[in-house]
Amino acid sequence: MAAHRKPRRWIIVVYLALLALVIPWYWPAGDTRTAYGLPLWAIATLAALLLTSAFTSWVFLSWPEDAGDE
Amino acid sequence: MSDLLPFGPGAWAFIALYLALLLLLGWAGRAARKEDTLQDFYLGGRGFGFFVLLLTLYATQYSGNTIFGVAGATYRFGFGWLISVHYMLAIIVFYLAFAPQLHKLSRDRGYITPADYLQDRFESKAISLIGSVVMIVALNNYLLAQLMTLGRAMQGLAGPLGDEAYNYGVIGLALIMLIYGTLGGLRAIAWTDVVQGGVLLVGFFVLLVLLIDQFGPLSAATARVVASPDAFKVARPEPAMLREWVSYVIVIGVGGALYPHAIQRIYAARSRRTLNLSLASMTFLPFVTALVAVIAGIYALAYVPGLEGAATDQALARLLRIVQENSQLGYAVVVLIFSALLAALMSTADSAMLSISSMFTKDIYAVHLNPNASESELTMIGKRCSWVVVGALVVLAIVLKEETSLIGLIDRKFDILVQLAPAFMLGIHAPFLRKVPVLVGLVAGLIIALGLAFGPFDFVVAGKVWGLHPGLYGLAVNATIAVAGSRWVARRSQILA
Repeated sequence: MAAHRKPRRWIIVVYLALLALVIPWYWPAGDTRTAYGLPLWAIATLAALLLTSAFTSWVFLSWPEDAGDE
Repeated sequence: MSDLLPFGPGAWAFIALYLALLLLLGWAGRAARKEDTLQDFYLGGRGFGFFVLLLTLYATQYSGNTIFGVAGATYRFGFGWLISVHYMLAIIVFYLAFAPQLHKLSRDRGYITPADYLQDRFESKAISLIGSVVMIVALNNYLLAQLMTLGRAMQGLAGPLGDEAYNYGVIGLALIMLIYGTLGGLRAIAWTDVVQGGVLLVGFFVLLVLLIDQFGPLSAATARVVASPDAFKVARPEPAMLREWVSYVIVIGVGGALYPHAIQRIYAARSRRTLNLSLASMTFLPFVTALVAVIAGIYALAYVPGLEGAATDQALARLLRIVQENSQLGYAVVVLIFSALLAALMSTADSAMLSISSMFTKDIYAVHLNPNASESELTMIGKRCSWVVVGALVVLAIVLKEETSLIGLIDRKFDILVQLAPAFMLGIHAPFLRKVPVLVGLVAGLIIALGLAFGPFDFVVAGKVWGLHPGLYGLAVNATIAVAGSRWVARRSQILA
């Protein structure tokens, strides 16, 4: 009953890398420098989130059509 | 909620017109009905195209909490609440794990409710029943929260008559929702979602423009926060909050993707391509919705300082009041934003209502109480179920009016919903997954999640263990039992054979 499809495991690796970029663990604590009203760490986080969105969008749009599907 | 935003007759007329439009769409949904079947009533005949699917997914996913709750949390935690942008995006990412495959299966096998998949995949009445009960409990909780927020919104508007306005607001808006929902089913609800999603999108855009126009650029607001005792809210979150960040992203990402009303929208997509296109577009909506709510929270922190405790949830309403009092245009815009709030609340509540009714009718009544019922009989039972459930929740919403600890309940909702992840997200890919280990894992996960959440444990701080939701611990055990147990069962059968 399970749906079968060629697994794309590398996608999970990309998501884990993106997760590590989105969460600002690597940014110095206590840094309140800002640009355009956003803290610098928040800009890095938002950029990584935007990358995550673009990547997710690409994965959905490049979804392989199974033979005979619909 | 909205702390005293007094509206005049013009504003009320606008809101009344908007509510009348929802009723009209309910009637139109009924007129467009093709047959008296569960598929037509609960899945809109599986004919949703890109535009309707995108806006119904959007309006359903973003509730009233997105506007006021996120702004309030940002007021308390600062920019760290960018967590909300991340978890709203994570819901779409977790759809990747199962939505396209589930859509294909739903068309091939004629699923109506999420439990139809569970029954088909595992052939276990116990898994299907527990799955349905978990989803019904989670959705009732969600629907109750939306009704209470609706009441608080009306309470805030009515000033001295607040208490009565709360009651009438909850009853009146629930009644409107029931009428259009039971008239036209998912088709009507999705059409109202198109209007509600549109109002919501415009509302968020206008809110951003309004804040900049009224208070100046974001840089000025952030500079005020940096110069205040709240400066730490601009800095990177502390390590403990970074752990919570991961926990929120997984719990809300997985739990939100498993919302039964969202799963039924996956079934309702006209084609897989339509579904994928809608979900691909959804990935960008957190930036025009949750991010705007975070920015609004920062403006509130800068220009309405000093709020504490539950009052922080009124941060945005207080900001809007300043705007409303300053110009006629500001007043009109606040009315529009209030309408967006109503749209967000009602679009989430009506979808939850319909989904509860479908699960009770199809998974419980038709399986356990009356297996010989016809489709039209079941549709009628489903409509009655909506009235009974919403009626009971309206009474609860009025009785629990003074309860402010709803966020605790909402966290628990995701803790139990995520326990269905192995059955849906792994079960759809892994043919080796067997019903007994999945069932044992599900029960163990639920016991751990609820035990940790409600048990008398000192190590549970603010509903979390070491910053992680109890549901995550339950999920780890649950998934381990499901996978390792299935491998063990397979090996044992091989040896015995």
